[in-house]
Amino acid sequence: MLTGSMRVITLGFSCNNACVFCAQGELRRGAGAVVDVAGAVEAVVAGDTVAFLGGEPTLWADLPAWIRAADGRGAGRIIVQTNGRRLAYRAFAQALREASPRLALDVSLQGSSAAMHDWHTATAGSFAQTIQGLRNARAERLPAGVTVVVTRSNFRHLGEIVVLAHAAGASAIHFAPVEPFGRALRNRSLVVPAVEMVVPHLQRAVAEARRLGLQSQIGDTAGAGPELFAGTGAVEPPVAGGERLVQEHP
Amino acid sequence: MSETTMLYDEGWASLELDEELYPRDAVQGAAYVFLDRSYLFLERAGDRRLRVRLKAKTGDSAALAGEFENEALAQAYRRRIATSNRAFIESIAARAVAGAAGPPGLDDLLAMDIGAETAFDDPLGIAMSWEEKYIKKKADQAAPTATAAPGVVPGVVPGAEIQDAVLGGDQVDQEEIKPR
Repeated sequence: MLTGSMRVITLGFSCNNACVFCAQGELRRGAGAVVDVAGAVEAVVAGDTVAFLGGEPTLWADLPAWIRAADGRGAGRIIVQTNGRRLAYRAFAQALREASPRLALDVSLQGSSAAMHDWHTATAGSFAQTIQGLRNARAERLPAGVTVVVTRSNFRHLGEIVVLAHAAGASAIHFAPVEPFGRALRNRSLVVPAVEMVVPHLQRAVAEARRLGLQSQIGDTAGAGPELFAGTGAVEPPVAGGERLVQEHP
Repeated sequence: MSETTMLYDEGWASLELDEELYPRDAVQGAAYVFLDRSYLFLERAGDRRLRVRLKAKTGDSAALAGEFENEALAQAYRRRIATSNRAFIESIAARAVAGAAGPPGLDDLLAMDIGAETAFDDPLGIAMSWEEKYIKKKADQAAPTATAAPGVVPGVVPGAEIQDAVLGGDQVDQEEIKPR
């Protein structure tokens, strides 16, 4: 377990997926807002965990340089929360790995098949690229965890997603509830599962992860620790009177 | 000769069918349907002509022969529909089989090769925002800015359009996204 604090650097909200459960919603309007990343990196204290969040951080060509800078400041762990698609290019994965030996990836994977994943991301071909990205991360010895947002369309397949994540090289898996903001709030009837229906599938998935030697984490509770998962980034402000979509997560 | 002829002889009904109207597969399909109710013989009666002889196991062979002819017509029509929809049916079947196959194994993963030569080449168009890629037409109509960060599409406000696209749940074509 790392001892420093978690320092989150949000690189705007531009993203190459358009996930049906995206909590950032209208924040995408400000996708290109100028972020003083250099200044944020300058504030890193030795031992900190630095998390680069988006949007999709890999859209930024300067990402390897920022990782290198954070490493130079003595960050204990650097996490990039990503959909992993750009790592489908082996050379890009290599560039990230060369930026810091303390880099880890928090990769979002939303299905055990192309149809399931691509429906969630609204982006045809994203599944193949994410899986290829995980494979390339493994080939480059970049530690990777997988985050699955548990929805109505994937909760019955959590066990399969665990198997797939393991086969693709992930060493941990994080089951995240739908956050009640942005597009998730607007699409609630499509994406929010009934908790009582999710529980048995989640239990089986956690057991499967244990059998395969994957660390698992449910929601924001401690489990795998902060080394691989960056948590929830910025979300669209909730509407007045908005309620939490998932009150209790098992 | 295109018409159907029917003869009766000692309890046997004999039909001669034009293969233009009753393809052989359709006649065989009809024969299969009648196996439990009749004795059947199929033979060639001439060029593009098929002969069906049938005898009811119980009851009237003539009535059964009429039913046989109807069934052969139905079979021929079904066959025509199946032929015209073959590509569609195969596509659905392939998707169903692929979906039921579960997640890919390691060998499948290893077979998925995308590859690239340099770190920042992007032949697949991955390193651009969703809006930039799928709402390009609107972007082209807007005035460009010089200092746009990645994914910023001048003039594009992704909100309801994206939501509609997402709710569509399929690959999004820019043509499908209409301004409100």
